[in-house]
Amino acid sequence: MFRSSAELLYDKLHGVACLFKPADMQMQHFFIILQERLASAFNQLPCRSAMQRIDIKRDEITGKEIVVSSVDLTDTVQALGPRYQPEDFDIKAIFPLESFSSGLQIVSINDDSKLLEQIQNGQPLRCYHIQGRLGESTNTLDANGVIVEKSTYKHVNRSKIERVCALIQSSFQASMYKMSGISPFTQAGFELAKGGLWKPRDHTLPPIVYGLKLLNFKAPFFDIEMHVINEQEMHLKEVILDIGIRLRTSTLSESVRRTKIGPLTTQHSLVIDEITPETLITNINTVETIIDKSNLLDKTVLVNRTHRDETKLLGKQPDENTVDLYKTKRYITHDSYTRPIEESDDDTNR
Amino acid sequence: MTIIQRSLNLCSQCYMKLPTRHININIINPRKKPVPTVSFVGERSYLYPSVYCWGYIGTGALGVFDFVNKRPDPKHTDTKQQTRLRRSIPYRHPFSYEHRIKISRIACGNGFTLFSSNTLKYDKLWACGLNTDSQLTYFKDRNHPKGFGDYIIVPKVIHLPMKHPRSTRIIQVAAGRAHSVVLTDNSGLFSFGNNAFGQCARQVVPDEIYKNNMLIHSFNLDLNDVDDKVTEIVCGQDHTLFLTEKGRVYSCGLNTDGQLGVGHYECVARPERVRGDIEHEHIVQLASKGDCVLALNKSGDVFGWGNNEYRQLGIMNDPIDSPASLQCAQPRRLRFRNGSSLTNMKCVAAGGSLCSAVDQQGQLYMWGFGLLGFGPKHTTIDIPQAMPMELFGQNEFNQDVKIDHVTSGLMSTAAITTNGELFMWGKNRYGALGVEFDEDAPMPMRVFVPARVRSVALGPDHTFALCKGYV
Repeated sequence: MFRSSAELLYDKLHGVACLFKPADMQMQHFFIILQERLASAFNQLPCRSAMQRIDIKRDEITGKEIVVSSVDLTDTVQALGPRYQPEDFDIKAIFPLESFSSGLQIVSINDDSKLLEQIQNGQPLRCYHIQGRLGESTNTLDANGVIVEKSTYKHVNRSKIERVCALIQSSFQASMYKMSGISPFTQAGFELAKGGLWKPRDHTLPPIVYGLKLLNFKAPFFDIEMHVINEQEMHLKEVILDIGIRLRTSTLSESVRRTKIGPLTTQHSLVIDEITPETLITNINTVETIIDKSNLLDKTVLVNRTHRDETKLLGKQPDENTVDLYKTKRYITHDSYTRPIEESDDDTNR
Repeated sequence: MTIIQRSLNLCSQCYMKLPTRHININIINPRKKPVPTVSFVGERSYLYPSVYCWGYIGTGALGVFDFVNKRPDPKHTDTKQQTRLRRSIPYRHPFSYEHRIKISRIACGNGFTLFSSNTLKYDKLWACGLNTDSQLTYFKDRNHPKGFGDYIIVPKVIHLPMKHPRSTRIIQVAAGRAHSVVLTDNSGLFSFGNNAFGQCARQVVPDEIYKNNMLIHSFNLDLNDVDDKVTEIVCGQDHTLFLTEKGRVYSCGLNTDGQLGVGHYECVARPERVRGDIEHEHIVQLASKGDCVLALNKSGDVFGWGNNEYRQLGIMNDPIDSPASLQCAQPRRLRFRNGSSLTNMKCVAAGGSLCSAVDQQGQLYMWGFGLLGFGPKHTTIDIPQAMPMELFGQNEFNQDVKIDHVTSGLMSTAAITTNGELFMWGKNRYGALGVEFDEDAPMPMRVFVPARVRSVALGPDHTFALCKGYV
């Protein structure tokens, strides 16, 4: 039996895709729209025709038994309904966006592989563009709330905001050390710090802001670019509020937009109007090739539970081999120091 | 935090979204009045430099009354009031904003601190901490007829015996182990405290009792040039160094390690000119906290003299293991084992057993013995080693990180970046590093001071930082 074009297309539609969620739309609602669109698109293609029903009848004229096949009425579209229902498209998402924010959303459609989990473990660095407004502050920290406080902002200029952003960024980067559970008193901890930034693989940790930069400032609006992991929408708005507190004024977030997840940018994403099965399949192909090429677990650190417990004890030097540093493509060079007292053995080389 | 922000924090931990359509405005704004505009920063507001302190509380060196004499908390029902002996986290000193004083210089000695302001008013110099050797001069009051005793808990004004106090500014203060020196622009130099080796630039009086000593020694240096004047003073543990405008160095005090640089190993009471390799050089900066001295000249070369037990001063003509190479009484240009010598430096610092220098590109070099900042394994380096800038926060989000200057305490070091961030490492005595844990820091750790740090003064047990706010 030949399969219909809809069935062939349905077999191809599985994998991880990158979509652009519009603002002020709940994610569940977005997925329902997606499912309904896909279902209607599939139903418009030539679908599986109704099966044949086989009867064995006694011919009245000759008296012999003949095999008669006719269209099985229980299998027609009129009886069963459209061939493709929205529930046929199983959509799962990681790093979910809440309704106020817009931007990239990684989803998996009809996917059984563990690629989504791997992406989540790799802790890809998320980049947000947030527009903030000086002078007003609401109860929900965004423009949808009720204004609670108003203050002057004439004293704020671009260099002050940049200074405050540098302060917040460096204090978050310094707290990344503590949150990873790596002891700074060991030589292995020092070698790790020499390599620059890393991302703890633990999802339950509080958010870590790696980069905080001011893009535009035209009073009273300012744009902030933020690179984070382990975040939720409220944490981003709290950072904007924190900037305002340090500048001695009040702030709120006008819009939140996620522009990057790891190597994926808005260029690789599909807007809601563009979503058809064909575009989705090409999108899945590009996204999966990008993820294959990029080293997902690059610069992530997973610390053993024993290491964490040992560092809690006072004054105990834990075993240096308890840090699992995933081998990165860019090698951390070890410069040989002149005449250290003990023999130096490379602990981070596995 | 307000009640609203506290409840929002709780909400953010669960995945439920705050329903925005069903806000009960009657809770937030029951009378539906328009929200008034508040001005947090006035039009003519002036940003006072703020002072942050941390470290050992017991000597009173931090100068905060509530640390030492804790007022009995009505909530605590137990009678045993335990006062914590250390303040590990930076604390904003109330002195500056309570009395509207702009503090310009701070000097930290062994358990005491001196603050000075650049004003023309009568009150220019304050001090707090240990007073066992009269290093804070003798205080007497109607309520304390026999003197204030060994500890000054809150900074008290020191009135120096100046001829024209209303037209003199204090340029610098410096503090050593048990003595203090003050430099003014019109009235010369003042020194008080311990003088057992002549570090106060006056003759050693045998069997002198320094406690409750009312003497403040006022002096001027015998400079060879009439146009020359003293611009900087640096105090080591028991010796004092003077730097003049033309780049000449004078010294007095303890000399058993050759730290005066005068060619012999006997104590000197009258400041003498330091010759040797720096005789014809224009010295711009001096640094000494222990018994080793480093000097920086105008073109960025580094000279040193004094203690060499930890190979801080590089190699010289004598072989390394001979006893003659342990001290160096004549200043010499530093040359190291691989033939290199430091060039193009902009800042030097010398601690008890280690030395550091910052070059014009903002790179930090460390050498000597101790917790150098390269981890717990590498404690001895005899050739200056550059510190990787990733430890000071350089990464793909923060491309340009440069060190502005480095200051050294006896057993710890502090570096300040051009961005105003403070990093400290070394031995963590009584929380003097300003980081929350009590262990020694073998690599640079960021000290969370909520302001831009301009300069830092390190004592062995406590630290003070002069900062400026952000807004």
